[in-house]
Amino acid sequence: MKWIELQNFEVRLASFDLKVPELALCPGNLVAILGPNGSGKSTFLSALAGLRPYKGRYLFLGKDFEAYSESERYRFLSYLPQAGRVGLPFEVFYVVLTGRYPLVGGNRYSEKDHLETEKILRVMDLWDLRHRTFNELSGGERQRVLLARALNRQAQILFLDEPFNGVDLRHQHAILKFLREYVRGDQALALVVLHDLSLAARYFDYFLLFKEGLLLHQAKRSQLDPALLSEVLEVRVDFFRKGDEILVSTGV
Amino acid sequence: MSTHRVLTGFLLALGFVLVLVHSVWARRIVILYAAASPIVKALGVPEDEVVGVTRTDQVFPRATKVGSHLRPNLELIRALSPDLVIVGSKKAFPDSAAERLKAAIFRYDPRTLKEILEAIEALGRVLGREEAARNLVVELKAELAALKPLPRRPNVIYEVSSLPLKVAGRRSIVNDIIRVAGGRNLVTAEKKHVLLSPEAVLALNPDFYLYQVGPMNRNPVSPKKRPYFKGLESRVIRVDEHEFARPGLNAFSAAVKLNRIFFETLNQRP
Amino acid sequence: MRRETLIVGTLVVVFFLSLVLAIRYGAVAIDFAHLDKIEKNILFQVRIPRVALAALVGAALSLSGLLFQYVMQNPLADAFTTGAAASSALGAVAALVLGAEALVLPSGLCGAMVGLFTVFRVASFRGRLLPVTMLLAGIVVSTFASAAISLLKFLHEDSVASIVFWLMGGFQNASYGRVGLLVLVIGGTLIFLWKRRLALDLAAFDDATAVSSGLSIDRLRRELLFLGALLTSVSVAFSGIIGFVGLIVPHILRLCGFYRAEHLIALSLLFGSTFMLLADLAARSILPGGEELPVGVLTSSLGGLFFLYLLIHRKRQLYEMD
Repeated sequence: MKWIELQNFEVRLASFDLKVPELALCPGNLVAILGPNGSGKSTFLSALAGLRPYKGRYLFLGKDFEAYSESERYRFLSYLPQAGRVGLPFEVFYVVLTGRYPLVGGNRYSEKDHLETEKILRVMDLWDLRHRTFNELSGGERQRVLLARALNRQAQILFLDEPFNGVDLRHQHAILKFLREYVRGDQALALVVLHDLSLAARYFDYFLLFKEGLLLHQAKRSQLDPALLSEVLEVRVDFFRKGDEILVSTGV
Repeated sequence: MSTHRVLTGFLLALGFVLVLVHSVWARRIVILYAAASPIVKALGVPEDEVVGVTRTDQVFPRATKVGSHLRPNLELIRALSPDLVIVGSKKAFPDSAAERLKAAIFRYDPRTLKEILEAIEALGRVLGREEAARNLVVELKAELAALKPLPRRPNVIYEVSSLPLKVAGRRSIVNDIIRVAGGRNLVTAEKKHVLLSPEAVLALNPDFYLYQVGPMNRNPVSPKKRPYFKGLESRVIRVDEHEFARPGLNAFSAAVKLNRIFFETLNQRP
Repeated sequence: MRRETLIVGTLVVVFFLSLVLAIRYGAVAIDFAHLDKIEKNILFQVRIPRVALAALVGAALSLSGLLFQYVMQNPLADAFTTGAAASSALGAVAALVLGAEALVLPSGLCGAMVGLFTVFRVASFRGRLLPVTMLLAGIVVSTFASAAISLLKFLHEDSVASIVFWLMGGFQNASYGRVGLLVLVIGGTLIFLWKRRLALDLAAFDDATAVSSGLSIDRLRRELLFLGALLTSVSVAFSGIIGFVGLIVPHILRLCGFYRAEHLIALSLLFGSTFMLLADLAARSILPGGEELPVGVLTSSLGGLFFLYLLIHRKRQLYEMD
C-alpha cells in the first residue's frame, strides 16, 4: 500500500514553482530528500505537512489529503520545521510533552502521554535535561528537544526538515538508528531533509533529488548513482562500496 | 572704564524711574488672571486700555486673547507692548517669565477676602485710581454687612473636583469665604487643593458638602448618587465655580450667599 | 513539586493577609469591634468596593499581560509595552472629551484593538514575532497615543486635572457595579481560556510548529488579542493606566518555576490581585491626613525598576528570545 501518492503536485512560490510530477512512497522507508539550497526541499515538506496550498493530487494514507480535518491529519503526521522556536520559557519535559497535543482528546495530558514522553526523553538522551528550560539549552540540545517533540507524537508519517542542525555526530547516529527502528516492519514512513551524504547513504532506503524546484530523480539505495548525485549537488561524489555499506567521498 | 560703569548705572536708574512713572499712568494693560478683570473694570479703567486678556476672559471682549492663564503666549504679549501686566500666583506665572516681559508686573494672588481688599487698593495705586479703589473697598465691606449671625459654626467641605476627589484646603480663597460666611472648613491642609479619600469625607462628616460646577468640575455626578457617598449625611449644595472659587469681587457676594444658606438651614433644623 | 506547593501555599496565605490588611487599614481608622453608622458606611460603601476593584484590576491586568505574552510570543509583552493601555486610554479620553461618557468603554476597546493590531502586524515576520521589534512598535504606538492624548488635553485645558489623574490610575471611583462587570469579564475570559489551556502553550511556538500541532493559530491569536484588549480597556476605563503589572506578575511566577498556561493563569490571578491590593494599600496610606497617591505612579515606578533589572541581569534571555 502507498502512504503518500503525488501526481502533478505543484506549489506556487514567489521566486519559483515547485513541481513533483509523480511520487509514491510506501511505509517502512526512511526517505532522504537531497538537493542544494533553494531547490525546494523545505517547501516540499511544508506543503506535504499541510502548511502551504498546493495543486495536483495528494493522497495521504490512501485518502485525499484535503479530506482530513486539521485536527485529524496531525494525528497521523508529525512535522519538524527547519527553524523551530519557542518564545516563552518552558521546561524541556513539557516541550516534548506538547508534541502529543493532537492525540489529546480533553484538556489534560494523560498518564500515557507522560510515560511516552519519559521514554522518548531517554531515547534521545535528554533525560538529564528534562527540568531545564528550553531557552537555556545550546543549539544542538534544543534541536534534539524539538526532534524528540516531533517523534513523541508517534505519528505514522514523519516530515523532518534538517533535524540534525547543530546535533553532534554521536547523537546523529543514535537518532538515525532509532529512526530505522521506528519505520521497521512497515510501521511508519519518514521523509528527512539532510545534507550529509554519508549519513544518508548509510541509513536511508530511498532518495529524492531536488534541483531548481523540480523532483529530478528518485532512487532506491541500491540504484543510487554517484554521477547523478554529482550532477544534482554540484560537487564531485565518489562511492566506495564495501559489501552492503556505501562509503561516500565528496569534494570540488 | 569706571565712567562707563557710572553711565550704565545712570541709564539703568533712569530706565527704572521711567518704567515706574510710566506704570503710574498705565495706558496699555494685559490681564493674565481673569479674576482681576472685574476689579480693573470696577476701578473705571476704560475698555481700550486693556489690550490683552486670557482666552476665558469675558469682561473685556475687545482685548486680544493671549492664551490661557497657565500658558500665556509671551510673544503675543510683547507684541502688545504693555506698560502693566497683571498676573496670578508665582506658580501660574513665574518671576523668570515676568522678567522677560519688560513691563511692570502686578501680582494678584489674594488668599482671603482681606487680601482682596488690599490688592484692590494696591491696584488702585498702580493704576492711579486710588479714589475709585477706596470707594470699591467701602462698597464691598458694606456688602458684608448683610452677614447674619449663625446659631452655631457649621462644618463644611468644599469639593473642587470629583475626579479625582479634590477639596479646598486652607490656602484656597474658598477657605476664607466659608470662614467669613460663618462656617468652618474641615480640611486644614496648607494647600489650595487637597486630594482626599472619600473615606475621610465620610469620617469628617461635615454639616454641608459644597460641590462646585465649572471648568474644574465639568459634569460632576451629584454626590449622593456616587457609589462612595451613598452614606453621606451632609446637606449637599451645588455652587458655581466662577462664583466661589475665584478670588475677585464675586467672593464677597459668595460669602453672603453661603451665609444665607447656612442661616436658613441651621434655623430650620432643631 | 514540594517547592511549587510551598510557593502556591505562601501565595494563598499572602493573598488573604493582604485582603485583610487592605480592609483593615485605610485613610480612616475604623473600630471593627463597634462599628457605628459612619464606619459602616465607610466600610461597605467605600472601602470594600475599592479593595475588590483593586484586586480585580490587578487580576485582569496580569491576565491580559499573560495573554499578550502568548500572542506576541515573548515574555516582555504586557498592556504597557504593547501600547494597548495607551491606545485604550486614547479611545477613552476621546470619548470623555466628546462628552460621551457611556462610550468610554467601547471607545477604549476600539483604541486598544487598533493599537494591538498595529504592533502585532509590525512585529510579525515570517511566521513569528520579533520581541525587540514588538517593543519598538509598542513604544511607537504608546508615544503616538500619548501625544494624541496630550493634544486632547491641550484643547480642553480646564478638565486636564481629571484626565491626568485618571490616566495615572487609581481606584477611587469603585462601585459594586464596576466590581460586578469586572467579575463577569474575568470570569468569561477564564472559561474561554480554561478550555484552551493546553493550546495556549502551543501558541508560544513558531507558527509552523503550532499549525502542525493541529492548532488554528490565527483564530486563537485573534481571540486572545480581543480578550487581552477587553481586559485592558475595562481596567483602563475603571482605574486609568496602571503600568507593568502584567509584565512583573507572570515574570516572577516564571522565575519561581511555573511555565504552563494552566498554572500561570491561576497563579497570575492570585498574585496579580495580591500585588495590586498591596500597591493600593500603600497608595492610600503612605501620605498622612487622608491624602492619596495615584496607584499607577507606584506600580509604574516599581515596574520601571523591574524592567531595568531585566535589562541588566537578564540580557541574555532578552536577546536570545528572538
